[in-house]
Amino acid sequence: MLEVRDLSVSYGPVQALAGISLEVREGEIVALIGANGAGKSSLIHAVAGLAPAAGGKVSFRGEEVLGLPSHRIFRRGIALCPEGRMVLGGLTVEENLKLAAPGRRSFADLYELFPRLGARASSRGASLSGGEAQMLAIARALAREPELLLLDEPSLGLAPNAVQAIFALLPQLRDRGLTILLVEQNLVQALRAADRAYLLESGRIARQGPAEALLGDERIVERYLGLEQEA
Amino acid sequence: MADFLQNCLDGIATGSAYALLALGFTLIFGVLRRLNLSYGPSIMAGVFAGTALYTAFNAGLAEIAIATVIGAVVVGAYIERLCFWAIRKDMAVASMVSSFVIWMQIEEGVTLLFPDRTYAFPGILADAVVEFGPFFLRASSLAMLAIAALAVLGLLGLIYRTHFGLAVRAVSENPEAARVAGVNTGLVTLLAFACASALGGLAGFLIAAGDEQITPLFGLWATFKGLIAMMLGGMGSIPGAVLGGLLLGVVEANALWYLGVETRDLIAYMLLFAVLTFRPGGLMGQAALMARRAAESRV
Ligand SMILES: Nc1ncnc2c1ncn2[C@@H]1O[C@H](COP(=O)(O)OP(=O)(O)OP(=O)(O)O)[C@@H](O)[C@H]1O
Ligand SMILES: [Mg+2]
Repeated sequence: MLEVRDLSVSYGPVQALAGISLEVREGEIVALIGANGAGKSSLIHAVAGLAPAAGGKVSFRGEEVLGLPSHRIFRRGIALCPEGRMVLGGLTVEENLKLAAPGRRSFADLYELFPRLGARASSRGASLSGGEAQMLAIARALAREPELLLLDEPSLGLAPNAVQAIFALLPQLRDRGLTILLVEQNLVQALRAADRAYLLESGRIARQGPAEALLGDERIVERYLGLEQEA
Repeated sequence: MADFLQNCLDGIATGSAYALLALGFTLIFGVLRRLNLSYGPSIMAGVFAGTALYTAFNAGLAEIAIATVIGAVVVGAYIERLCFWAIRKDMAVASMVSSFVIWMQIEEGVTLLFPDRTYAFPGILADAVVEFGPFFLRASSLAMLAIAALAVLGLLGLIYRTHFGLAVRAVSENPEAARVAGVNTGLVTLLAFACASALGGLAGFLIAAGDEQITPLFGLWATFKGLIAMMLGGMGSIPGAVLGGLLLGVVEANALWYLGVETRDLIAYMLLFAVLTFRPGGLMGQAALMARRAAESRV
């Protein structure tokens, strides 16, 4: 469904990605893992049309999307739920959803998925708790019924029960026909949720394979769990 | 007391046109977070398009109004492409300075095409006066007030009731988050700019029709009045722009009556100074500023 070939991303003199290739097949949950600054967000932003790609190809359903403006990529069915949520604090919950889905009148299905949001539909984004804001960011990404969801660190800064809620959501979303590219610091949980995984190290793919294989590799798990604890 | 109330009535009529100018500034500042000094001159260019139609073809009021609005929108789009779209977001000073350069260009261009100092502009219902008990208002002022009020209501409807308005509010708050939500921020910005220019064109038409004449200095005048009214009300606040415009009109009308024409502008500047000293965000900007800060710190 999504095919990334030799993608490189630079911010001025800083090269964040140096020729990455990866693939996400329809119906999969693919985890993208790696240390802070490895380039995970850069990759996801480049796919969404929000980062300056310096070279390579990104095709979605066989069509090139690299270089298209972000709103066109969004309309093709790739939605981003960004790191740090980026909810609009001055708009209400429902307005945040409407913004992403012009013309849509009812968000009942999303409120069913996230009852907290339904209860707070007319509260301002700025008044939401961290967990609620994360739910709104996911719901906003789903509002236009995308085919591919790019999920960047959804559990960042959340309380343990909110983290559990997010991970419980992933299989539900897959059952709705969604394909997911998941970036996570929460290594073990991400690998448990995913079918396949890529390990990113300083702008390159260091390992890839079935999620269980990476989960079974003690060196990876220890090293990144260790990093997480230090951070 | 009767004088004071009469002045307030006159001031509200003039202030309604100031409110339109301030709203235009606010829209542009909201979506771009950058100042467009050429806003007044773009309106002046539009008014001259109307004047040209009037002097050359003796066109009717409606045609002249439309030509004024279109002229302001075209020149506004030119400014947006050159000073804002083409210059990176983080170079706000470069945008502001280039908008000043374009100001000079527009003023020189208009002066070349229209070399006389002043040109005639058709009035609306020129000599009629409408009485309300002991008070009265020129019919043209009443028309100005009514049309401006309709335009303000129309703009509020656009901003708070339509999807385009939602996108404008989103881009004003956080362009990157708006882009994540799938908003075509470039288009929204251009259209918001066009709306601001159209409002400005309408204000320019109403003011020129009230004065029944126009000079190239109108650009400077419109930029000053719009900026002062916006800063009084609060940078980036839409209700603040309306309030700031009306307040400026009322204060000026009273200063003119009690102190004379020489001190009118001085009083307006002193009012702005006093407001900014005690409420640095403007009368209604503080709330907007605090809400914005709160939103940024929490989300
Ligand atoms: N807007 C930017 N301007 C300049 N450099 C950037 C920018 N965004 C990212 N970088 C750099 O690119 C590299 C990769 O950053 P990226 O955000 O993609 O990493 P990440 O894997 O998502 O990290 P994290 O786990 O901390 O979110 C880093 O060295 C970072 O400093
Ligand atoms: Mg990241």
